[in-house]
Amino acid sequence: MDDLQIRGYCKLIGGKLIQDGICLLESDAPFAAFLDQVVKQFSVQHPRFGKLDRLAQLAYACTEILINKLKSQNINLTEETSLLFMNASSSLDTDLRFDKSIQSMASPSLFVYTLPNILLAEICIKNGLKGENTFLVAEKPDPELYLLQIQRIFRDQTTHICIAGWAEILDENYDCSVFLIDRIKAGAKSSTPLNISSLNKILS
Amino acid sequence: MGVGRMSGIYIIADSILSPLGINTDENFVRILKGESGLKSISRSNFDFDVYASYFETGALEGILDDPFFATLTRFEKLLYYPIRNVLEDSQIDPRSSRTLFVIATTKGNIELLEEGIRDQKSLSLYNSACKISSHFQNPNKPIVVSNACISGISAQIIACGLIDSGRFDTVIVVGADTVNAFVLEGFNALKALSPGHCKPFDRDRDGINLGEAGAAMVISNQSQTNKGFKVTSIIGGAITNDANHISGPSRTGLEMSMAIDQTLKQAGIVSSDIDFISAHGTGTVFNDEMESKALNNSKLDKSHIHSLKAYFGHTLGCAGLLESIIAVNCLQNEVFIGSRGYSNPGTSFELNISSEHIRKPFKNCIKTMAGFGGCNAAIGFSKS
Repeated sequence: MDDLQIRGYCKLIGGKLIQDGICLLESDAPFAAFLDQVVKQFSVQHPRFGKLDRLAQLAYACTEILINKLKSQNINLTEETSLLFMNASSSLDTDLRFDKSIQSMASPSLFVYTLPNILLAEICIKNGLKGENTFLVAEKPDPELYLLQIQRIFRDQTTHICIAGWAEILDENYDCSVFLIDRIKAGAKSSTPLNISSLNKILS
Repeated sequence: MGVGRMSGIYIIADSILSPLGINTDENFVRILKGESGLKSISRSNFDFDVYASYFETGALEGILDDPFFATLTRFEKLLYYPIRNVLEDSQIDPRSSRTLFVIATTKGNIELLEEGIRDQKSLSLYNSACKISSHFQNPNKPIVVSNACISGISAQIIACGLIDSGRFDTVIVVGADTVNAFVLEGFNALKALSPGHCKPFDRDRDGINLGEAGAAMVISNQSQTNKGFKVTSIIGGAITNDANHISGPSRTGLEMSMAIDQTLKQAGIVSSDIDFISAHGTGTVFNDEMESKALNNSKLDKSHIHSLKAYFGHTLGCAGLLESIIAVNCLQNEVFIGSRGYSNPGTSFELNISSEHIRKPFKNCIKTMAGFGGCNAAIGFSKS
């Protein structure tokens, strides 16, 4: 088994944007206004960001901020990048909206977002990522589940990078953490090896 | 982007619960006779006519007289019954710490919305999974996969990875989804529903039929089974993304082809070793076109190819499991099930699709799936 490392993380939770342990933005604004501020201040680009559902917006923005930061450190994504995301309520936030639309006219564009893995597609399309996509539903962020699944994803040697995350939203409660994992080069040392304690720090 | 080179992973029991039957054998015999679960859906609250494979009112509730079963939702009943079958057949101990449940579904209990139930707990996929795994006194947290239409293959790949890593000896993989107003309205809004029986890969194909079912398999590092069940090996499996469109498939099929090629590589075999393909074959213009390109690109267009959608409908998160179980039974029974609804070629690359059953010895097959979000999956099986 190759040794793996975490190369950085970004979190959007309770009005805060936290990158690698440092709070870069704090706001009392409700979710929509907070996200708007995040998108503007951190130059999150998407040709149709307003059309994404709230879950995909949250995960996409958080991931783009992380990816842009890592690009500045010369860590670049390749086609062989896999994605592993989880949350607790799947796409319930959008399911309830789509269900309301059925009463008048069922919305095809909302229906597509009633699958939680659509947020993975948004990240893949923007960045040209063609690796594995996996979306799991769990009670809460579980470091052991991440560890086992990330190790599985790297076992086949085709994955070079894995972007993993937790993305949850329901009403005004939201919680998103995204982190990037790659292999530690032979002979090199990592300041953040992938293990339960490093995962705990990001996910708690 | 699945599991590494794989060996020593076996399917030691399987079961399907669908409107066509309550176990794998019943389902297999019915489709061998050419029967389909598709029927007109007569619900007064739809202003459109569709065909789907669904349980008549009360039919699902009546299959088991058991107090726990009676407390479950329709979705949970579809999970529970096939698990009960595979546990009985395999005699494995679900209480072991070396045994895990992996559950695949897209929408779980979503039909509870029709009864006005909207709370997070009742609709939680994880909550349903725990209800089932704790009933069987399994000490581990279940893993719930919700990866659109590839969920049933994703769950098998996850199971293989966890066994391969040595973390678990046995994984009970189960998938289910129901036919309900939510998904019917959604696919209707996308104009994806066929007005009749679907016609996968046919020139005149005009959309999908939905179906409801539950399916379970026991995946193990041990090949011994009870009752003379014929064991099948899982030889590889991979998932890719198109990075193209959130709801439309790849224009080239290259990404599904990548998943197939990775599966072959893990299995240490080549395309000419594959006897047949159980394709996704939804019956939509775009999916079947994409798959014809993918299968051609992976040099599998001359293998026997079928879609099972005109027998069971598209069972969403269950489909990858249900159709894998049928594929495995085709291998073991040396009969390839004909592709129902197919008459005339109608994809840019002509595929070797047979609407007739074909009887001959088979060794290896591949099951493919694709889903919203541009995801593709392939998994390979071999007669042990």
